[in-house]
Amino acid sequence: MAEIPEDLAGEVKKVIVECLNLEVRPEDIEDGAPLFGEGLGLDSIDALEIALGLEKRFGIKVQPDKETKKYFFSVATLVDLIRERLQGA
Amino acid sequence: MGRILGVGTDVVTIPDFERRMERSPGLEQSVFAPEESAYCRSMARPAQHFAARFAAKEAVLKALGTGWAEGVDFRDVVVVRDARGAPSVRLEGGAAARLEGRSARVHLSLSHAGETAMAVAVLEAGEDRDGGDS
Repeated sequence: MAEIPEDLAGEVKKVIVECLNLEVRPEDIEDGAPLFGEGLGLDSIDALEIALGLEKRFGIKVQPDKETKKYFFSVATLVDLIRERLQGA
Repeated sequence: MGRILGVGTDVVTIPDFERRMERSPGLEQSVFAPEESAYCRSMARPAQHFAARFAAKEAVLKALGTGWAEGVDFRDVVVVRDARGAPSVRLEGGAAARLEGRSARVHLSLSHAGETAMAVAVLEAGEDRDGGDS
């Protein structure tokens, strides 16, 4: 099983801020807040960029598709997806 | 003219899209079919063409009444050029499946001015015609 970072949510926030060059601090993103549309206001390209950033950081496949769509909602749901992928690896 | 099944439009800021492609090098492969990349890269200003193609994909998804990730991949909407150089669309995979076996034709119009690229897509019911006049 791949090693899961202790503060997985914090790591995901860092990836989001870094790969999108956002002007918010990682710690200012709430775990449960919607990332897309309302909330942080990210779009579909942002989602693809986040997926690419998470793939690079965690070495997993998380491209947004029908199966993974429900996880592209908030930091908390992305954490669930990454945990699932890392445990399944 | 057959029944109109849907219409979609999208506007993309060219420098913004170019910046995103530069900072996330995997984006090009996630969004564009190899033939689209090859076409855009052959042009004097690739970013303008990538941005217009992306607008086209979003517009076509809207016309199909679906959104990204609802089983439809951006690469399922391929912008091609017909014999006269006019842009048209080839639907594959999840995008083609959205038609549920119905015959339909996508009309596409692309435009750009300054830093903006835009696309309008109209989905018309009827026989598929390969780049012919309507």
